[in-house]
Amino acid sequence: MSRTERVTFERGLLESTSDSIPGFSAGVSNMDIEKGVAIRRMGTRCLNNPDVAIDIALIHSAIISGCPVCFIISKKREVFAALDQYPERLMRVFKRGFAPLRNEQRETADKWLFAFRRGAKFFALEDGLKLRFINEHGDTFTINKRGYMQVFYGLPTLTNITLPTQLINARRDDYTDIYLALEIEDTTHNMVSKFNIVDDPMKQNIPLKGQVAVAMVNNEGVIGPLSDPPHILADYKHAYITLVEAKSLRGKFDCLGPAFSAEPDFSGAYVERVASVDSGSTSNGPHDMVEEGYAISQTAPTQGNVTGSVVQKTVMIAQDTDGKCYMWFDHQSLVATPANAPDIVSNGILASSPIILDGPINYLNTASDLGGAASPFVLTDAMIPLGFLPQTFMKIVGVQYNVDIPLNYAWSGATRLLTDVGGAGDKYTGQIFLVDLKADVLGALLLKETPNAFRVGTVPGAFVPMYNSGIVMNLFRAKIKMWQSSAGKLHFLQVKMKYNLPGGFGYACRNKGFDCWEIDQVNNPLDSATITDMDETNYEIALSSPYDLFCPVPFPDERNEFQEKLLNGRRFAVWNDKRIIAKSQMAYRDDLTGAIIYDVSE
Amino acid sequence: MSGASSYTNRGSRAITRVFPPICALDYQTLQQQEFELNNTVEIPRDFTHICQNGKRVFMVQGGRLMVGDFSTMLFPNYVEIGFSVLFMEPLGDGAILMSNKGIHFVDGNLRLQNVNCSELKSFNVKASSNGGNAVFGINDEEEVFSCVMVFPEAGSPYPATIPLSGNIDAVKWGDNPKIQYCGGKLFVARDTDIYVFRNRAWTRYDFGTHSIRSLGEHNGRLVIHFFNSPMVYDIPIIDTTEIEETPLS
Repeated sequence: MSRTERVTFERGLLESTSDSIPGFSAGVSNMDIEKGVAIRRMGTRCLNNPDVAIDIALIHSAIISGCPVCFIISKKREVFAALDQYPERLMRVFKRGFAPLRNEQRETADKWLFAFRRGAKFFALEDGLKLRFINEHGDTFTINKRGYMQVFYGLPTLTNITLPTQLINARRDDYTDIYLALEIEDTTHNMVSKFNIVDDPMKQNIPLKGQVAVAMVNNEGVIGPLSDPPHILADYKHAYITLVEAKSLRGKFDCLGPAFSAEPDFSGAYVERVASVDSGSTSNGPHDMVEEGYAISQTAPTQGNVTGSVVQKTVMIAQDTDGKCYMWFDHQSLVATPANAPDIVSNGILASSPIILDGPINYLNTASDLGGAASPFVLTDAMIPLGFLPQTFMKIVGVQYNVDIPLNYAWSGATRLLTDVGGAGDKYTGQIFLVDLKADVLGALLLKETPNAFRVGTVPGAFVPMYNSGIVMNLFRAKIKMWQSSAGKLHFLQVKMKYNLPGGFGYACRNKGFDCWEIDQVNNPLDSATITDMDETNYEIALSSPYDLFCPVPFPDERNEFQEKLLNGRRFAVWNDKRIIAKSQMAYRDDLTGAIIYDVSE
Repeated sequence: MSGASSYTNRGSRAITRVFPPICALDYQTLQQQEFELNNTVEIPRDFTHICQNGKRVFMVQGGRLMVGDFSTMLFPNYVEIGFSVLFMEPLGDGAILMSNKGIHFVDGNLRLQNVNCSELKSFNVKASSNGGNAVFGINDEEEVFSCVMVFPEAGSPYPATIPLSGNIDAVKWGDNPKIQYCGGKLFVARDTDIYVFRNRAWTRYDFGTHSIRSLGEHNGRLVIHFFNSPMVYDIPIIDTTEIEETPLS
């Protein structure tokens, strides 16, 4: 057995043979015999002389662009490199290029440093072109063995790059870190945890049918395992594919029903009718309401500062020969005093909301229905339940002021003239409203009975429940929902329609074509959306927006799922029945404006 | 700082690479490709061992031995194994697996076979190193051995174990020896010394008080990592004529 003396290290290597070191075998100084051939030994080299020992998990040597590089992965998961040309200095390895290895909220150069974020065991695999470092969790980084390689004197920043001018200076300077730049990519394979098929009501996307699955594509362009099990579409569907929750901002939305005060909170959005009437005019009218369409409302319906409750009230509805319908409040349905009769404007709130018909409509057919000269109406068996209740609405489309509305009604002879009965105490002065009873409601009513004409006219004392004299074709009694204050005053109920519209904070996305996206962070995408159509038979709306998709997030935070996938995600491939039909985009975003850049002129 | 030249980084704006998590399907006809359903393919997730043999990559994950391709790092094929793998190294066209139930060999077609260890006193391996055409190991009977492919005149090649050296007198390798093959030599490190096996002979180098943490290889030469000391590679080799051969026992 032979033994060498301990060798102490100073800077540099043994450049010349020395016979004077105790224990060194004279005559064979610095030589080695390999297969009978004497070979000069390179000499012992010190790769690093740290103040604090590095705990090493992996040492691996590879030839990078013709240069032998000794890679060292510490147990802190940092990656270092040692070069023969830079003895006694370990370099931190970092990725060249403006795309960092990971995007983080902190704007530091650390994003380009090559380090694992987890793992205790590390392995190296390589072929002629690539060197891969992988931990036991599968996090993989791949280095191009024939790519860029450069030593930097300090970590490059966005504004400054420093290169060593002399190798010796770089080695001697104790106070500066040295960095080695290589072409590195994170080529980790990821599994798809979930994906969404989001409806495309504008049908801009090619329809899908059958099995649909998604797979992540790593930075080498390798398509990973498809999601399992595949989603099955029974019928053709135009859709977007997303990895985050997303909703369409265009197309038709079904009404989820009416909402009015005292209803439970609703998390979606409302739509309300916008109309106006010349309420300042002193003329008794009639005044028509001016339609201004429908608008999205973010606030729940309210009755203002009027406390009270929802009640059911009886109204009279008369239909004339022109098909117009008039509504007034039956004297008997008012509490105690006619002063409680509702106005079209009360507490500054215009009764523009739809009125909810609540219960069957009674058809008044004969004189006996009227109950005689001095009696109120009675219910008859000519009761027509409406099969489509309770989702039946009508709107006020006009108003006439200061109309005498009688307490009782009477039948006058063969002409079936409807008159009021009694004197001044048997009527109240109130408003008559022109309403748009839906055609299907009217149709159902008219089918039930042969209409009988009740006439009104110029006979003194005749009740004129309409804007002009004429023949009343039919007379009905109905029940509607109203708001009654604590004092007994009636108010029209503010009703808004409920929809499951996308709203709240999130990211509104517009496809500029060919899967090129414009992504804006918005507080509410409905702020820029408009209602282009409203089907008043079922209150289905058509929504229009400058954006195609909306991705809601719970908090305006960089760490939300959308941002995380945007900054640190990968492309994904869409698979449909044995074919990859699309791959999502990789794009570049301006850090100042947040806009995705597709053209150098942008 | 001395000896440095600097310049302003190129580029007039800071941009970030992003991956929108949304996809429109409005030009799919231009990018369709046939692709079979592959939801049974595995990716490295939580594996215990991985090694490479040419284009093939062998990986032990979830009680299975999988084989995949280096260029894709996807693992479509696997075989169930009923043992715990301690070490795995490439050999021949497959890999050697040293386990708690013996030494096994898997070929490129995932055929698993036991390796005859009758030449050894024990198959419980406590350290291993890849030597290109051989795999080296140390067992708990302090034997240093190699595992090589034998090419018989008739029949298929098969793996076999060869003891390289019996116990070196008075040497115990310890519970955690470090073993590294490089440059045609096998290095076995204990706490403060390294034994080198070359040309059928052993040489020992004592590093005094410097404790050896791990061994590596760089450019065909040994790298030694010490506790609280510089990391070095290459160690002086004395002319072999002065070395006393240690015969195989």
